[in-house]
Amino acid sequence: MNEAVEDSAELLLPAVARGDRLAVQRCISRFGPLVWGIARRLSPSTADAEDAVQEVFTDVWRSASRFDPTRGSERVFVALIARRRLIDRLRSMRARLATETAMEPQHENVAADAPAQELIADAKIARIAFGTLPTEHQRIISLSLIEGFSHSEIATRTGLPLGTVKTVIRRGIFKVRVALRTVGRSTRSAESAT
Amino acid sequence: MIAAETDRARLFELRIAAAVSRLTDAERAELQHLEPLHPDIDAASVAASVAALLEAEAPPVELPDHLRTAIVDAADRYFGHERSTDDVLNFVPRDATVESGEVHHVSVARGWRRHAVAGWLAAAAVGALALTLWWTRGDRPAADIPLATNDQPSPAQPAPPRADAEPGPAARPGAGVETDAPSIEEAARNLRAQRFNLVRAWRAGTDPAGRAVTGDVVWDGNGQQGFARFIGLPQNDPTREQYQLWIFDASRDERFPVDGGVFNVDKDGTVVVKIDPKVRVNSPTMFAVTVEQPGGVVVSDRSRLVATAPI
Repeated sequence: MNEAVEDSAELLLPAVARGDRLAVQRCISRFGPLVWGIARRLSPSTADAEDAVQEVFTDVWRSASRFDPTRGSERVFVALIARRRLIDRLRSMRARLATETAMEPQHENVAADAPAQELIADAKIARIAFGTLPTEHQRIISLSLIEGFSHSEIATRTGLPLGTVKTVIRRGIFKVRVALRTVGRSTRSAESAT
Repeated sequence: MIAAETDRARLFELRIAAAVSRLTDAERAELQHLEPLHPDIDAASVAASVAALLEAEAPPVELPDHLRTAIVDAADRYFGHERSTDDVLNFVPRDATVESGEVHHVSVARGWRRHAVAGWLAAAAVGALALTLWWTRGDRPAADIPLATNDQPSPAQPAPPRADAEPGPAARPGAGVETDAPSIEEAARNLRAQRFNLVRAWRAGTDPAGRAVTGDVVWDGNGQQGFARFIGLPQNDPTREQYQLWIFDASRDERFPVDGGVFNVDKDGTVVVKIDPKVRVNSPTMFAVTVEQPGGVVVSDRSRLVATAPI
């Protein structure tokens, strides 16, 4: 069963919030690769990523009761929890070492061991939409979403005005949102026509 | 009109900020003011866009088996679930290698490490200073003891054993690897019989070859045997070099860790090695892997430290 189908199958987090052990294990199976992929991308080393994954899932257990299906899918909920935890760790490491360059995530680790899973449909669409942006805009959005830099930090690093940084990020994500909606609508139309 | 567009843009920014961080009270108030004006800029679609971008940039990767086990273990502790060792062993991982039955399950993953960043030396709870000295080239006996094959006994211990290696799907036995090794299925059954196994995760050593290594080592002190699983090690050419496993024992001179044997890794990068030292290991403090000449050495010059598993 692929992730997209799994995601639409049933909600797990309400049962996780109740401490249902089977739901907890299924949650690990369903979202483990998602969290591990994010952790590896946003961690300076594999060992650090392993620690981070543990912390992310603890956050998920702690936050499960706050999940509101009207505000997004469980996958989005877990992904954003993972990002928040990973960015917190990155910032903490940067502050500790006081040398950001020494703690840039080692992206070469990402593809080094287990093969990446196929992206879910939304991520594929996002990747395509993201790819149509100017390279500099991609970099700015990546600095914000992936590297966890604040808008003002990005402005300092890139030499761009703060307002420009905000606009680039907003427009980039807006473009992804439009693509997701357009393709999603097309998909639903195609499904209803068959 | 312009004001409305400005508000929309601002609301979108706040939605993004809410998705990736915590809003300040002022931002939250601003959001609450703006959201009724532009209901089409909904939280769910913005959060989904951010998450989709995140996933596009950080694609999902199969969880390593040892990490899955550790997460399950931690979850059980968090929720206060009681479980048996068999529960852990029977938890079906999604890792394709494990599903094929070629890799053992780990036993109860007690003591999952929490201090990765400090590095392997700092994390070694026992004998850290001594181990540092061992691995520090300037304070070691190797200069006085030439490299030797495992056919020659070391000054500190009898001739080391060979490791029984169970290579990955496309692997073949290499030099120094016994071919009458038990199957992985048998090895897994042996592990299941051990209720208090020591389990530790591998972490990268100083040699680039270990950069992507994951996996775990399981050690049964009573039975004096264990298994080491490696994922992500580069393939070696057995005619030129082999991986060699070492066990540090608090009861022994740290300059002479117990030889755990040599093993090879094929292009699959996954291998399970049975550890069956002929020398008793009383109190293991760390497992380590180096790259050595074919057949291994009695004393490593530790110039190529690939992986460690501190205890």
